[in-house]
Amino acid sequence: MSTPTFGKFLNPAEVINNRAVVLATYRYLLRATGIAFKDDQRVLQASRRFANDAFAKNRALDIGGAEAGVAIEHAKGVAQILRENVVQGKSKGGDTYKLNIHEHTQRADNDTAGRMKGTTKSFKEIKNASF
Amino acid sequence: MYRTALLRSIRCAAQASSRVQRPAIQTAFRAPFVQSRISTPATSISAIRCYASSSGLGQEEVTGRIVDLLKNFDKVQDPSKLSPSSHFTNDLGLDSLDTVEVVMAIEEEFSIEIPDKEADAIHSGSGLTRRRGGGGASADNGDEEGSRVSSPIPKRNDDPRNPETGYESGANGHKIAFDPRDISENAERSKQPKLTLMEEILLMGLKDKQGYLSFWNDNISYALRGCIVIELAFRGRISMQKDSSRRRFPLADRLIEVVDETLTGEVLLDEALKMMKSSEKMSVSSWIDLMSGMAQRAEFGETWNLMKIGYQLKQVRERLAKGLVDKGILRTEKRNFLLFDMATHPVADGGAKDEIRRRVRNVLTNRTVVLAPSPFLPEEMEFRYLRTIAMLCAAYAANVLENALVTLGHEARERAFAQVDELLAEYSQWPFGRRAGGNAAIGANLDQVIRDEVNQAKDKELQLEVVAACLSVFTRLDSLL
Repeated sequence: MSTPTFGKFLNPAEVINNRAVVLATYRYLLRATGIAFKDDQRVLQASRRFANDAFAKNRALDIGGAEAGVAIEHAKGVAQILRENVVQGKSKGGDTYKLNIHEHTQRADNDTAGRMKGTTKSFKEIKNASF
Repeated sequence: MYRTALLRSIRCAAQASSRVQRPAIQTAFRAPFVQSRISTPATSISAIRCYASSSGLGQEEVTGRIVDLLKNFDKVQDPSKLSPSSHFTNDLGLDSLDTVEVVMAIEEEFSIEIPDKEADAIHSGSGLTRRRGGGGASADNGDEEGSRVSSPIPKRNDDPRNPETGYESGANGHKIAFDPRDISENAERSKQPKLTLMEEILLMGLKDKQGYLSFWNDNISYALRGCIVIELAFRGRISMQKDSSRRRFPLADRLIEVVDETLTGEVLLDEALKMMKSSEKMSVSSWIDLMSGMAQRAEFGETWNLMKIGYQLKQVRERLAKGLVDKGILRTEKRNFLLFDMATHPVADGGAKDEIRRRVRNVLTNRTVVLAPSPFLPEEMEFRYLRTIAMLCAAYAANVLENALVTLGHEARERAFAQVDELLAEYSQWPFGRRAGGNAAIGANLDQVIRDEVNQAKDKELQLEVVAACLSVFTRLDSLL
């Protein structure tokens, strides 16, 4: 999966000025839902409908406006969490679930994981940490 | 036979995923810069190659599966219009977001991943696809701006204003789909030179074979930003703010304003234009400084202004080079420099560079300068001579002029440099300075020709003033860096 890497090559002003970037972000988000909710048609479709609604709602935002920039960042943040921090579990009958941990799932080493134990992060923090 | 963008990308992706993942990396890098471009011969060759080496799924099967998939897509308003060649937007009433969803669905159907650049170019199940690039900018604009004209399947379309997809016969009798907006853009473009000033300067600076600029040339970055401003002025997009009190300030400190915000079709120009449009009015020199990130440098004593850092144009050289690749003048190569790989852009079509060299030598050595019309300097273009002067001065400021003069003898080269120096001094003031006798052995008619050009365009004086102001910024360049 190709991550939208444009952040590295375009400055923020350019990113929010670019329609292609919006569509690429949308595509990135859809791909993330595909990973997070693989084989779960109901949730997959619901999540995609939700994404579509959210993007359609912001359709009127000015290209290049600050709000559009925030919305793009938000969508990228959502996609990142879906990819890295949401793990799908499949019931194996009874109380057992098989977790679908995939290559994109965030895995920290013992040390960092230990330090993160018990801490909760808000969405904003995750977003700020990664951008 | 030409296959469609869609089928082709499926096949390419299928092959690529079985072999190497190269295309994804490449396009992830390029995708943000896609711009509307006319398809170049090079790309159609790759299309053919792709097709020839394809294997696996037959076209009928692929088409069938895609049509089935579209049938089940609940946003298709009128399933009766569904055919392999229906246009997503025009026939099926899908918007750009839906198009992305369809492409995603196709990816999942075939278990492939279509790189962004290709995905942006997909606009129909087959036939009516734009060849290349345009997906990013102009084609998608059309999606929303109400070009929801239902376009009947293949039909010849010669009216360039009609917003339907048209066809053109390709070199070997195959139909090539194009978006008529490209063509009307061409109409405007025929009045513009094939290369922008920035591209000409960059081309002059590139080493033919190696395909990169001298690493030690700092001036060129700054000069390129100046060229952006000049080019915008020549294209009538910006001019000096009309305010009689401006004369109190030196040229470079006078404010510029956007007078025409129509996009030019050149990525960098459009980006600069948008910035100028949305910001407060600033002077010529502060724009050039801002765009090159100069204002942020501590040694200039200016406070770090976070608001303004967004104005810095990034990757200008690289993006110009990519533009030249799209125009078929350069090609891309990867070279290894000791420790790291770097994309280089050797010259693929030497004609453009030769033409520039010839023009430079012509102006700097001949007694009477006559510029023959060429695609790089169309006959109907305004300010042909003045533009050439600006190009020379920018090349001089960017330290790349000598590359064009290598074939001259020592003495002739010295004279040429002296001549540019003089030209820069004359044209960096407004009204343009009169030639004070001086060395009339070279370009004796230049002064008169340019005066005619200027007199013919009395209403464009404010724009020319911007050009003069940029050149006056160039005169300070040596002390700047």
